[in-house]
Amino acid sequence: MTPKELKDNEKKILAWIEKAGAISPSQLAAETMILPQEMWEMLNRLAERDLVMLRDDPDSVDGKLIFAAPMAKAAPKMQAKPEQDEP
Amino acid sequence: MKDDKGDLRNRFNFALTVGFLFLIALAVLLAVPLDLMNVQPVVLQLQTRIKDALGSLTPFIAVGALGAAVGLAELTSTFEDYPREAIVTQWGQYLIWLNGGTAMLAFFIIRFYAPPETNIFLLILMVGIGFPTLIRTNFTFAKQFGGDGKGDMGVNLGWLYEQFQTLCKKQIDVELMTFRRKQVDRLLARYPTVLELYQTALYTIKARATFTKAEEETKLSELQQKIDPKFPIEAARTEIGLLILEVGGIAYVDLLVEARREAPTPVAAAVAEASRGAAAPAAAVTAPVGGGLDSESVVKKLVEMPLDDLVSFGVSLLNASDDQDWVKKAAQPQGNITEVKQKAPIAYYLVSRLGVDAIVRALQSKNDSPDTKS
Repeated sequence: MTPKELKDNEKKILAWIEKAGAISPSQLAAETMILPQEMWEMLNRLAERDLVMLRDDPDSVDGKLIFAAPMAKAAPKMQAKPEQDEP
Repeated sequence: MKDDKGDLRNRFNFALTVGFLFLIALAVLLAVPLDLMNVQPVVLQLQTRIKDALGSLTPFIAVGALGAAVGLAELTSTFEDYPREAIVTQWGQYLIWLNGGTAMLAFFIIRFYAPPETNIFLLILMVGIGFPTLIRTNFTFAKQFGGDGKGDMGVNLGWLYEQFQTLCKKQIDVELMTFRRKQVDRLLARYPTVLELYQTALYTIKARATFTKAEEETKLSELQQKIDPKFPIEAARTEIGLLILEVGGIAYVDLLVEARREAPTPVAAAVAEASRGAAAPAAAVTAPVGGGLDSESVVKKLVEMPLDDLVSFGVSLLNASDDQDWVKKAAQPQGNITEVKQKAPIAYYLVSRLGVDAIVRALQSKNDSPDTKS
């Protein structure tokens, strides 16, 4: 599978991760309004494809930190930048 | 609470205060016209003797000050990232005193042999500037044609001082390393997660006005390397802490530590505000916001609640039906993820939608309600 076959949600979270630099998976789920189960599955898929990297962050709430892997830069980006929803 | 700031700055402030008070007391004693007042003859005698002593000591003080200034300049230029701390290290003080003391000794000897009619101001300048130059000089009598300097004939008067300077540099470096470690430990104690440290470092790099684009890129790349999974967790935290200290400086570390210790200062609030912006949008829910409680602590408190309680707590606070639906869906039984992985996104969601203050107030009123107490 090539990066060109990314789904919209995957592109969306890659754009978020790249903009944030690093983020916790739970925080990313909250920001993108993607359900937790779906988010973890998607992150694992992206990590398997070396598009994101997961590292331990034991003192954080969900114990993980996620950031873009160098290969993610080759992936096509979302045209629209992610915007934070107003409360 | 124990003051956990580095010893170096405390030593600096104490010495400065004592010196300042001593100078004020001396100035007052000398300025007051005691001979017109009805004071003990001993006091009058003391004033006269101090004035006489100052008269004969002034040239020595001036020469010593010039010599010490050279030592001070050497220290600040060598340790330009931590000049104040380098000056107050033990070996930093030795270097300054050695420069000042040897200049005074040289002045004492030269004055002894100089003709009495020699202009004292010229002598002070000659020794104060000439002596430090002399002890750093390498005289070359004969220079090899096109050589690398090894075959030259000369006398290196600066050899001894070079040895002492090398020793001082090594010792000061060791002392500063301990100091830096203390500062990083203070930071790590208040910012325990890699994520918080990362976001703080990211803001620090982007906020440095004097960084060129290339310097900023280099630092960002360094930061990105430090969160690589191949770094053990403690090494990653320490490395990011050191990067924050290096880029932001000690006063900035103080600011960050204080922001987590007490209610946020205006600058800490500005840091929080800026980290919400383009630099790091995801930092919105981790920035310290109010009441001394940062959002990460609030998220942790929310995650401690049972899942059902967290959902009903969130739904009762959220007004929009879309938000309520998302929280309910996120809490529905899901395949192979743990309950914490379900609760954490809900907690972050509530903090991002409602803000830290609103949630802290709601938690307080929940704890105060009779149902909870019973």
